[in-house]
Amino acid sequence: MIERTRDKIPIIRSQAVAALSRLQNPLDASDDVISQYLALLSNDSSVYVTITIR
Amino acid sequence: MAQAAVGRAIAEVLRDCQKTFASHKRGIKTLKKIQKNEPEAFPKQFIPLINRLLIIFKREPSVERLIQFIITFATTPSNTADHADDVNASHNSSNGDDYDFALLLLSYLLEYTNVKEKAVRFRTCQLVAGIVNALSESAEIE
Repeated sequence: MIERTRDKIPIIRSQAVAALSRLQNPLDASDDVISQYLALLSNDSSVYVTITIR
Repeated sequence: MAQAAVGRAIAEVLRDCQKTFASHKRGIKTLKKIQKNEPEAFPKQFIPLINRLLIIFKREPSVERLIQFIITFATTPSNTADHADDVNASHNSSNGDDYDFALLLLSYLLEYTNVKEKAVRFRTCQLVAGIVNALSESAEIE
């Protein structure tokens, strides 16, 4: 799924983000899902994606 | 019930559920019943039927309704779906909900999340996201 968050089509990225939301571990500072979310928040060009993360 | 008859019965439910949200509750009940009566045939017949919708990229109301139905069906616990004739419900699921089908569906969908066709990637991710998020609090995801 994390690979899908780097998909070239934005709506797919946003679905992947939604799918990962249940798998994140807020207690772990270096959690893969959360790191990926943070990276996308700052760098993703698509509004679909950033809104889904929030 | 023969394999093909199971397939036809499932197809009929899926066809109805595309049309309106109102038919979903009934559809879930019907499918749960079929699933209970034909535990091996059910997944074999169900999965090929949803392949059709995986290739539609465009947002279409009937597809969205069907996706919502599949998510709800996969995540509805078997023992609460139908009280009336589930005499054995308490015997079968002593520790709560049974998510075997949801897991089966998830593993099938995950296989296809990396394909070339964007529609398939989109719809499989959409279904995985929907199922994973609709599972009850107690479900553990590994």
